[in-house]
This record gives sequence, structure tokens and C-alpha cells, in this order.
Amino acid sequence: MVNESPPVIELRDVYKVFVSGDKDDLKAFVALKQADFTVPEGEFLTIVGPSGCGKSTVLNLVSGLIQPTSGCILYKGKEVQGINTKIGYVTQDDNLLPWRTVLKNVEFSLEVRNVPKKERRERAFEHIRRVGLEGFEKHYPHELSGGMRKRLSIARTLVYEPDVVLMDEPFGPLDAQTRLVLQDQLLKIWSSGHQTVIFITHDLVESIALSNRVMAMSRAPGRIKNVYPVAIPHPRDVFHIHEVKGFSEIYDQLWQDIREEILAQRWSEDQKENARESLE
Amino acid sequence: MNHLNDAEFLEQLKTSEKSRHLFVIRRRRIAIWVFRIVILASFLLFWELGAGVLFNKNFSSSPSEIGRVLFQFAVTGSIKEHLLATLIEIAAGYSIGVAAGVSIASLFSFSSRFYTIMFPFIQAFYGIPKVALAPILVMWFGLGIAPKIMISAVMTFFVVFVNTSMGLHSAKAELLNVARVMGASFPQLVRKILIPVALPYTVTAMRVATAGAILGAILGEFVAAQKGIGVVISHGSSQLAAGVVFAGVLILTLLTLTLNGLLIPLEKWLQRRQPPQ
Repeated sequence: MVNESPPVIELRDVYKVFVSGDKDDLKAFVALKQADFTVPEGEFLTIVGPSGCGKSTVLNLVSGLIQPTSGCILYKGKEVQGINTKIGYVTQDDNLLPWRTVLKNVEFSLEVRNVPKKERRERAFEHIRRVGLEGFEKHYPHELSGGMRKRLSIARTLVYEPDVVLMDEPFGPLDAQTRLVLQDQLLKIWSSGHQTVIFITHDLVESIALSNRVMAMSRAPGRIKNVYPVAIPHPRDVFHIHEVKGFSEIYDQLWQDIREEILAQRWSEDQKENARESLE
Repeated sequence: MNHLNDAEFLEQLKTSEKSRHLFVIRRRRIAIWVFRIVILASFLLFWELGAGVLFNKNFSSSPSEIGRVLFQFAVTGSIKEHLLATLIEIAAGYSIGVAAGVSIASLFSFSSRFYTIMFPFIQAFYGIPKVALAPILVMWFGLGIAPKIMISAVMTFFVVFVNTSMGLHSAKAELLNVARVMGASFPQLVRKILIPVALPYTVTAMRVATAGAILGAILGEFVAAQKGIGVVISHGSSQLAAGVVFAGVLILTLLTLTLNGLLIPLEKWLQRRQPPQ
């Protein structure tokens, strides 16, 4: 019996083209090119790549918020059509409801899923505790620090126990210390659950510290450049992850990939600039 | 100094600093009110003493005379039917305007196609000077309260419509998407996100629109009417009774301030729950 159940997420030869501009000056932009990968159940996958390489597009496609231009996306072997509510989406902005308290924010997803009030409250309290926000149930989001808001946004996503959690640079705007603490907490929550996570980040260290696999993407048109398994055993110590054996090898490879992309991007921009100047 | 004393000392510092702060706030507040009262009193005094000396009393009237007129209004009860007519016009026009503004703004925001189709019509309608509508409405609906209610409703409608549309638009697409992934249906999005997001905008508009509602009613009364504060004012004017005109204006001012004031606590409460980001 070798892996009979299909992967949780599968992208088959997915392309995404966005069209923008007004009718006299339409522009088509290839955001994602030939994306082909699977995510097995329970995996923590991180995606790194230069800005504008289509990382967020991958998450929007997986959640069903947007449809691929060609190719298909499968969830547990079935093609995704429309929004997939089995998924939890933690966006870069925390997108909290400012008129609701911490408790009511966490209860929101359970409310729309018609979970009875008593169960709702219990589950909300449990998840508030899991992210370390106990005592702040009655506070409003604007009374919380950036790190606390982030934890709240994670709690309100995990509370309805989605099979897959998508995270789009959730720790991006936080300071370095808070990031480390939240990475540590996220890993603990992940190992105590059974969720599959797809996590986007700019931070190479973060991408290795958290994941089972790191996927490096190229600059636009975004395509998957390399995938590196991270063999560092759990539980991990994110505070000293750079001292762990095997870390620096992956880091160097990743940096090599990303550096090429960033330099190439620069170069092509310079070239455009030069072309424009020579025309003038 | 040991730690216990240190903590006590800090508490003392905090308490004394708090009371000093409170004292400053109170003193500032008193000063503001003193200034206001002085300004109002000197204005009234200048008016009272200047009437008949610096300017013609037939046109300027005077605070004491306005007071006398108001007192007479109250004693004889002659103002009652006029006030009642104006109040009914305002109440009806305002309610219709708010209801129409909120529902049409909602329709527009839920169906962008409907919005695209209807937008030029709304804009044209908005462009009509409402004053120009008054005579035609009076022509159609006579001297009763109906045309006043309509003008009042139109004046209210645009303020509420524009602000509610803005409020509904201010809900971030990403937030709505996150809620949809969480499993929210369209009615749930409306009830749990769009309404709470738009409500502060609508309530502010409702407060601002009270002035428009009153203006609309009075405008209609000026064109042609048998009852209403507007009638009192225009009669006063044609008889060169400046005191009556000012008394009417004062009643309208108080009416505007009252209606405005009624909605301020609601607005503040909503804003406290939802601070501007």
C-alpha cells in the first residue's frame, strides 16, 4: 500500500495570464508559467522568490479565488471549481474585523459555518489560548500589537480546522524578534495538528526553518525553478536554525537561485532603461 | 530605598501626575466656554444696543424683540400648526430620503452592471439644482405638504446615497475574499461585513443630511404653502416684521442643531468601535 490517497494539492501544468489596462492599451502579463507540483498531506511547503514572481497567484489559485488560464488544480484528486472552503487563507494584511473583539474575530468563521454558539465559544477560547492571546478576548484589534494581530489572524483561520492553510508572507511586516517568536509558535501549532501548510516568504532563513520542502520560483513569468527538501528533523529550534547541520547547504543553493533571478531582473531592467535612453 | 517604597513612590508620582493632568484639562475646558459665552454675549449686546442707533430697527430687529416674538408664539400657540407642518414634512422627507439612499446605494454596490447602467442618470439627477425642482413639484402636487416632503427627500437622498456607496466600497476586496474562503455566503457577507463597514458612513451622512432635509422643506414652503415655518418667515418678511423673520430662523436653527445632536452619540459610538485605519 504505497501512497494510494491522492496528494492534498496538485497543480497540473498551470498557467495564469492577467490582462490589464483599458481597451486601447491592453496588456497581458504571464504571472505563472507551467506550474506543476503536488503537496502531500501534512507537509509544510514554503515558496520563495523575487517580488512579482507569482507566489501569491499560486495561493489565489489553490484557494479557488481565481481560475487558471490553462491547466488544472486538484484538491484531494478533484478539480477545484469555485472557492475551496476546506482551505484557510492567512493574508499578508491581517484583514481582521475592526468592529469585533478578539473573541468575536475568532468566532467569525465558525459563525458563517453555522457552528452552535456554545461550541463556537469553546473552540474560539481554545485557539486563542493556542496562539497565546488569552486575557485579550475582549480587546479590539486596534488595541493589539502587530505580532498579536498576526497571531489573532492565524487563530481565526485555524479555528475552523481547515485541511490546508495558505499563508502569504504572514510575518512580513513584523520586527525580527517577533518574527522568530511567531515562527516558533507556528511550528509548534503545526506539529500538534495535522494541517498541510503552503507558506510564502521573502526570507530564506524562514523558508528553511519552517518547511519540509522549499520551492524557489523564478522572476516573471513565474515558474518553479528548484525544489529542495529540508531534512532537518523536528522539533526544530528556529532561534538557532542556522547552526544546524545541513542548513547552510540549502541556504547557499537557495541564495544562488534567488541571486540569479534578482540579478537577471536588474539586468533586464537596466537594459530596458538603456534602450529607452538610446531611443531618446 | 527598598523596592516596596519604590513602588509606592511610583504610585504617588502617577497619582499626582494624573490629577495635575486633569486640572489642566478642566482649566482649558472652562476657558473655552468662557470665550464662547463672551463672544455670544458681546454679539447680542452689540445688536441690542445698536438697534435703532447704528442700524434701522425695522430691518435689524433686536434680541429682546425676537425674544418677545418667540414668547408670543409660545403663549398664543400660533406657531404650533406651522411648526407641526414643517416637522411632518421634515420627518417624512428625511425618512424617505434615508431609506431610498441606503437601498439604492446597496443595489448599486451589489450589482456593478446595474451601477454602470444607472450611473449617468444618477449623475444628471444630482446635477439638477434642487431649488429648480420646487416650483414644478408645487405645480404638480399643490400647496399641501406633498411637494415639501419630496424636495426634503431628494435633498436627503443624495447625501445618504453618496456616503453609503462610499462606505460599501470601502470594504476591502481581500477581506471579502478571506471571508468567502472561510465559507461566508453572500447574505452573510452583507450582514457581517458590508453593513458593519458601511454603517459609520451612513450614520454620518444621516447626521449631515438633517440640514438638507430641513432646507428642502423650507424651500418648498417658500415657493407656495399655507403652513410651515417657511411661511412664517416669508410672511414676516413681506410685512417688514424683522423680529418674526429672525424668530423663524432661530427656530429652524434650533431644529437643525437638535436633529444633529440626536445622531452624534450614535456616530461616536460607532466610531469608537471602528477606529479609522
